Amino acid sequence: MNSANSINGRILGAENYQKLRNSRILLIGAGGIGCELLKNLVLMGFGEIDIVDLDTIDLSNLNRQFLFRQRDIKQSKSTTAVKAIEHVSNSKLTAHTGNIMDVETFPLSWFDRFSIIFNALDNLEARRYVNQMAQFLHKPLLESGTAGFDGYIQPIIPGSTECFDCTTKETPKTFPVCTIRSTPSQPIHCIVWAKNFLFAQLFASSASTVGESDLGTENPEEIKRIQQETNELHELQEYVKSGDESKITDIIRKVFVQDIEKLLAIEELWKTREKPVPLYDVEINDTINTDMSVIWSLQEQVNAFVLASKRLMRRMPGEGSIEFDKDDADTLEFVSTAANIRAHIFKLPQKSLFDIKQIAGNIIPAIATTNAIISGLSALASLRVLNLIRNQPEAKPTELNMAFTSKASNISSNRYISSPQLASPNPKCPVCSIARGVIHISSKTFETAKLSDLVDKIRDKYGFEDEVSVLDKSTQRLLADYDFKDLLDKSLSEVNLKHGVILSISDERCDVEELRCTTEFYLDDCEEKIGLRLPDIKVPLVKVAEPKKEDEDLDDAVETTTSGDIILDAVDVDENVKKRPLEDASFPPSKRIAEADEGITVILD
Amino acid sequence: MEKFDRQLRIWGNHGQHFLETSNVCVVGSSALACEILKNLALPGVKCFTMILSEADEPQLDEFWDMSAWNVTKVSWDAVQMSSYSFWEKFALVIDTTGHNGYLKTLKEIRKPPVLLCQMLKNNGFVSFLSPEPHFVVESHQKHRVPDLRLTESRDDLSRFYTKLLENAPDLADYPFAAILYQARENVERKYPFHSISREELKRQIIYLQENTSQGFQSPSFSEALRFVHLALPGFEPLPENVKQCLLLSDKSCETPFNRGAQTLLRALDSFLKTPHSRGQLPISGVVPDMETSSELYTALRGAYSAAAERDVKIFYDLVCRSDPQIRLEEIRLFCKNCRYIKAVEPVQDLSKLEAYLNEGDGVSISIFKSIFDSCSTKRMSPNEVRRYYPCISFMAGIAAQEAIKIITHQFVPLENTLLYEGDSGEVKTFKV
Repeated sequence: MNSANSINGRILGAENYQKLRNSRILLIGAGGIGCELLKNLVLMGFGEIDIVDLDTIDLSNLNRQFLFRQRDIKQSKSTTAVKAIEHVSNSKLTAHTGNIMDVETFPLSWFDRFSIIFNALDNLEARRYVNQMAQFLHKPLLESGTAGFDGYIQPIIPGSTECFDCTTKETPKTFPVCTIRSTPSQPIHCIVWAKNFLFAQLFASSASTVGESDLGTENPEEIKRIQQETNELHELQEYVKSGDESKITDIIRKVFVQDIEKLLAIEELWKTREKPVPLYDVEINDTINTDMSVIWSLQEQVNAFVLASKRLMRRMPGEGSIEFDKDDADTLEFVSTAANIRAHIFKLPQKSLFDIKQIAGNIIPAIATTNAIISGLSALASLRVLNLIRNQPEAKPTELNMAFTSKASNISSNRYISSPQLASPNPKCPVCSIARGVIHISSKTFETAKLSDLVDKIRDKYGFEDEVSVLDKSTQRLLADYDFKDLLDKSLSEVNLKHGVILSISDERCDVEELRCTTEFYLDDCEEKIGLRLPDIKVPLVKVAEPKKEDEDLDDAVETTTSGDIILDAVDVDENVKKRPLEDASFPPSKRIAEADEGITVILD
Repeated sequence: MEKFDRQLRIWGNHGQHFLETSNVCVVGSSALACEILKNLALPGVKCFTMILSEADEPQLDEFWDMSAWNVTKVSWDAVQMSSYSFWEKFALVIDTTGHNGYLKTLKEIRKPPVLLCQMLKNNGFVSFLSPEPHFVVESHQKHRVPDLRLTESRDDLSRFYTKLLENAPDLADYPFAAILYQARENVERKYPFHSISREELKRQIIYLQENTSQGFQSPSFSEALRFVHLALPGFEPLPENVKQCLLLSDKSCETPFNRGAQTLLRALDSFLKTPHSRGQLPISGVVPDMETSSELYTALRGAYSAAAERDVKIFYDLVCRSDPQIRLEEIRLFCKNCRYIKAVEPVQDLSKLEAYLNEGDGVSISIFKSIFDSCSTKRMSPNEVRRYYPCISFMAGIAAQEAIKIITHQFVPLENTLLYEGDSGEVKTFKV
């Protein structure tokens, strides 16, 4: 690979090629886009490539992730990808199996060694996290994603172009607790109930909890009923643990008859709604259906529910608890049949196992060709971002392009991809409009310094007045503000501050025209002798913005699990669903694909 | 099937079946050819023939799992390959070389459809060539207009609405379609020989709204006002894409899918002439979501799907006259999608493309010409391959994406030529 001749006079030129050889780059994700992108980056000749993925290989990856084979199933994605490509590689490749958001393994200083970051991720949370890291370090980031035939890339140059969070992203749909628990009106509500309530209560370790404030109803009877029901299900969990399979009929009677009768007793609920009909006279027989793509009869649903419950109960002693997994046939069948039986009770349309798998498993369609197009574009864009293209004047960041491909030729009659130029940062963006810096702090200083010491130093250095609030961004904990000073005398470690935490300092003064810009500090490690070092950054004064109207929808109740996860990341539910959903069967499959609109919509791998 | 789960959700089992039973020929063995082949093997194409050209092409063979992908490699053989029988078994030929012998053959042989995909440095093009139109029944349009037939009601739907609205004390909870129907009826009764205007219809809806219990709170009435255009005369003319398909229904075609589509289109032509249809397409039976009770919505949906089934039955009888073998399922799929049916006209033959390039001018055409002219002679060195890899990967993605659309006859493929200009990063399309 040292034939300078062919390099000379080609797209890069010798000097730029050498720069490329000397670059160390980070690729996050070894999935659909990741595999393709790794191949492109290796063949382009980047000097060092680190690839991170926390996942293992699954059968359903093999329709697009070409570095993996059948024999690799259950192996680490990043390690396998590197092994599969090493022999043609002239780059130093390093595989990491881990979560990119793990600050122990991947502290901010670790990100600093790369000249560019490629995102090939499949979830919003990690995308947002990496975007923040890029903002701290002023590293260029190449964001990308696909869903079916749709895909996009977005180069992000901190300080110069809009960041990932400058535009609002489609957030996962959530539903009020009362809709899920008492008054479902769409099949999706039954699926959420089956997955996040019934299944979680019976088999999972992190059962859902219901706070008083987030129910979405004010009917006292209904609230009482919802709370009782949760307690009663704890008893059913004992049945499940007992391993006594004869109890399955008791579970059916409880969940599909008694609970419905109790709901019917709350008359207020049914004045404007159709009443559910409890599932009386259940018989269980041998009829089963194995066709995943058709809707089963009620009898087949019940029989399959019983069989799935039995299989799950037998697994409980060995596994302790079972989490829902779309690729675990027992859990999927339990959730699917329970959802359909409930839909029947509430006179709602039922769905096939295939469709429920997509909704409950948050499956986003994926194909090899879109990944090839998008990773090709991402690799091409990196050359522009790094200014490695010969004979081309250095591009201003805002002259770079984003690119979308949307059912390819359907975008418009004369464009296969649309490539709008990048926008400037959004001045209201909660991520990139604020000031950022890294505080270096030694391990011992966490023990010796008090929170007040740190806050005072920050205030002095950056010109904050007295009234500031201090927030631990990683956990959203308030550490101090003008009327909460209890923690100020504690040491940093006592208030759980450690390396990797992001502190957010906000000027909380009222009745002033200008405020000190909100600033986020990443707490990073340093040598003991330095102790504590604040960054040399300027924190500007900014004009106070007009108060915004509260978004009314924010009050809507959300059922959460104890881990704080939102219950269902169903991004692919029909968007025009109101009271009832359209029956999927009446639309082509594309109807269910998450859409990329004119703006930036998050598309997941 | 588990392996293909993520893509079955895009094109269904029937689309997958087309892929798995298609025999695809790739001319060339360069990195571009291998990338395209990989992009088709992954989603499930099970049978490939790769024609190696005379010139040695640099390969990155180590990567590719050719053995697992059932690739038959053959060398170019002018005698064997000038015969039609060699080519007829392929669903699609993808030429990545601009190989002179092949291009010459291409001018003489009608079948199968061809994707020409070539690159020079960081530029490339893809062109879809076929002497016959390419029909797409499932075009998967993202935005579907509700097919409610409210401009001039069919007898079956009129009967349904009349019955539904009989003794309706309060329209506030009724689906917007029923409100529109009622409003239109009222206006028609008032001005019997008058074409209904949007304003009149809106006024009528507001008048009805004032007389409901919920007044302006009813979401159904907001929807009725939003969708008022669905009940205006002239809303449902035959779409241009359907007219175009009907015009092409007698053009000679050899691809089985295209022939099948033409049979259905000819039946559609007869259907449109029946008194039953009043010149309207078969009704899709798909009802959009509406604000209303489950009960009313279920009744509404039942009425529309019964109407659709009636049309399917009539349509079936019409098709059976020319093709008694046809399955009812195919008719259902066709009737449901016929408003969005599409015919793409590929480049008719290679000489048309050559003429287009010789006659045209401008920067894009000259880039195009430079790729086209160089490809039959020039080969990339292994180092060049590496340098231009992202462009190769990108173009191979596009070519394979189009190949999938062509093979499955789902989604609208490229019409009909595309150029990627590496320096500007732009993609341009031309209809040759």
